[in-house]
Amino acid sequence: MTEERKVQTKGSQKSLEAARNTYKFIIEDYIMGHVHKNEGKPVVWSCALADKELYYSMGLYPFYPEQFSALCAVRRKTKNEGDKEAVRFARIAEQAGYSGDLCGYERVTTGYVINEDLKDAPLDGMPKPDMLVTTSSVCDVRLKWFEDMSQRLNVPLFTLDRPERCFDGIMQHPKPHEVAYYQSQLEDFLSFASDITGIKYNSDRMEECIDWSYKTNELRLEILQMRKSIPSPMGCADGFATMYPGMYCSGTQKAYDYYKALRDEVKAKVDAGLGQVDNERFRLLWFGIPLWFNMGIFNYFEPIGGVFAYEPAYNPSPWPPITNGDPLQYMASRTLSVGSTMSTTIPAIVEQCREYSISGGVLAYLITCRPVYLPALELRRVLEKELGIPSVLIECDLVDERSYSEGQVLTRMDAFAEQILKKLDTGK
Amino acid sequence: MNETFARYAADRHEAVKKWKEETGKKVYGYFCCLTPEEIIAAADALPVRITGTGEPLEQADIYIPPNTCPFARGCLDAGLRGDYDYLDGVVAPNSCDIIAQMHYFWKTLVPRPDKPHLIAGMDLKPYVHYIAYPEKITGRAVVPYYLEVLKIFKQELERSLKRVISDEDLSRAIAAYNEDKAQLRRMYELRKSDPPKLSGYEAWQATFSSLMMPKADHAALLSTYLDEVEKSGNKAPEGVRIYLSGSAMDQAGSDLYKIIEQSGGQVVSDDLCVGTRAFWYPLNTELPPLEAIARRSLGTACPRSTVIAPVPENRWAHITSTIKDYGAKGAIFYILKCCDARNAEFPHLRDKIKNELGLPVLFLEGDYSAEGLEQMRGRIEAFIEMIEG
Repeated sequence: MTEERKVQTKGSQKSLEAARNTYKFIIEDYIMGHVHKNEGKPVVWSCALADKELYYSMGLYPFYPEQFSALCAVRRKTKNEGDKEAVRFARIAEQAGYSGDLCGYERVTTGYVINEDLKDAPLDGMPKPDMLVTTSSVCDVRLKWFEDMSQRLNVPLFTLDRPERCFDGIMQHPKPHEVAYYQSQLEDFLSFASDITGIKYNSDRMEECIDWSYKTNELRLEILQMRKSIPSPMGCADGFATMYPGMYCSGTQKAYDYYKALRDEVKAKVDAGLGQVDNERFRLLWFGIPLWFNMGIFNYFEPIGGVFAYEPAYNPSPWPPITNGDPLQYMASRTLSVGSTMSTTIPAIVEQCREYSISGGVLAYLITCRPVYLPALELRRVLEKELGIPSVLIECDLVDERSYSEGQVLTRMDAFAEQILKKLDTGK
Repeated sequence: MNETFARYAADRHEAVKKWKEETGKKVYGYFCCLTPEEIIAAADALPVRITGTGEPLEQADIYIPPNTCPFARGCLDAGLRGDYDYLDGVVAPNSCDIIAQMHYFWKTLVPRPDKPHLIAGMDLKPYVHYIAYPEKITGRAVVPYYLEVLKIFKQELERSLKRVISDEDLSRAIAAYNEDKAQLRRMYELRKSDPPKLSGYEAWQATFSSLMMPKADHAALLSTYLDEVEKSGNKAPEGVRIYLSGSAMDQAGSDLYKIIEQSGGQVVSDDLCVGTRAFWYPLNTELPPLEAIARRSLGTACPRSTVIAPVPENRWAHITSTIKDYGAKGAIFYILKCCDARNAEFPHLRDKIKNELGLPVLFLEGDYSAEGLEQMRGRIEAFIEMIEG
């Protein structure tokens, strides 16, 4: 009788030491969060795209359900046994009536909350929050998901309503009414947080946090510039591994120190002419959030000299210089400078493909992540039309590995590799 | 059944094209009931709700992935195949993730009937307008913000249509909208009786056609129709009284009303964007007209929105106001596949309807096709039988 072969998913091999050690940063961040809570200090569960300086300036310790879901995608309750925690929690949510079409992040965290024992999770889970914060950015789900958690946990929720700016082009200075509106959201959040915690807003402390996040952002932009080098010194496996401090700890010295070390490591590689692999032949774009449970996919083409050189997700955009005015007005202006529709996303990626010498695109068709799958077909069409770059769609969920069809994904990747190699060899 | 309403429901494109030919006026298509369509009407143009076809897609699948809301894909497909070639403009608000991107898709892919009017590469008369509708519809700063958004939209229309839209124009439009809303509310009052004076499908025809006709015309027709209904002692077929909540219930989904009726039920009220959410709340005529429009638009209780509250429950207020007094015995949720906002809120609303209103709830997942609806018949029959006991 043939033995049933389990789908093989695995973590990625990273080319940078900083990337390999980021898990220690994450573990320490979780530990500090639990310590903070145990000391009676306030904790917030936040969606990823809030302005983190709001939390650090107010003495709030943030946890991020999206990041937590990604953590659950790689961890099992018992090492090497049973389903990943993301699957366990998603099943709980689905059994409670949440559609399997809903965002994987939402199903995982909703299932986690329904499970009630918040410590029954990787790294002891997320401590019960004193407040929830979401934004309108990126997708509808995060509004309803956080409303739902607010109802289940009976914890107050604040929504930062960020105008969805639609214009042709990549960056555009926001209009006065847009800045005023988003600034009002920031002000109202600070009042909300003060009412709950008794902590007063301190604009000096806010300026200090913005200063750290600005300097951190500059480091990250410097790293992004260096990643254009040939051979590629830092790939997507490294990129996704190292995004944590910038995404979740922006506004702190520890994030700044982290990227300073990363910048130095990348610079050393560029100066020495070292790449992710010795025999770089072609460079790929990864579009979308990764398959968190199978980051090993980023190493798939390395044996034939293929590297994932760039990923738009989680990477920063240039911020306007800090002004001497109200830090909240600056924050609003900074946040609103980038467009948030396909009119911005598609041309930005076309430019990025030029800048990073991209030969092909792997587009993550994340079946439950609308912001990622919606542009996928159009992006493929435009990349082919504007740059003659072929793309392949990899269909799967972002955290729920039940949807991962190894045969389908690898077959597509193999065919795509053949297409790229043929183009390299023949020029067609 | 009213013949005009039935004609619009059966072939809305022909009906609107005929109106356009007869009047020589402009027609603007819009997505979603939260669109400030009153501004379009104030410019003496006809706002018509864009809907899909419910038929197999011909072209949209090339551009929009199959996981996407089938209604939105159907709308784009209708645009791509030329069904909407009579539109003089399109308005895409930031309603849900998918509709917000209709600005890009429609502008990039749907052939525009006229040439752009370019000055240094800038289009003076954009064909597709985007409305940056807020996600949080209450709060101290949302009305001032949204008023600025509407002023920009109004000016874009004025430039495109080469006319000023005055406060008097806006007030006239508001009056027409309020009269139509009053008649629609009157119609819904007639559905409180047991049995209701008109069927769920007839009521749907009347509300759906209002999305395609000048409001003054629709209000007058509806008023006459309701006078006849009241005089004639008309009664809808008896059935288990059903509250219907769901994703866009356009002509592609309207057979659901008939299936429910054939299964022994009768839809008496709803939470639909082509139903109560389109007309339930009148515009406040004591406010400056643009502000009245802004507040009406912000007052739409759509699942994609949230409100300020420690623990937000905005949709519950609308659901209770549209379900009480209708004697509903059960609720059917017809949610299109991949409608994230509705799918995310469903478990919560299901539990509240069961626990606080004591009503059983049936969940149906739709794919925006006639075949898909027909496959639900068995479950609907079983649900109604269960209620009947």
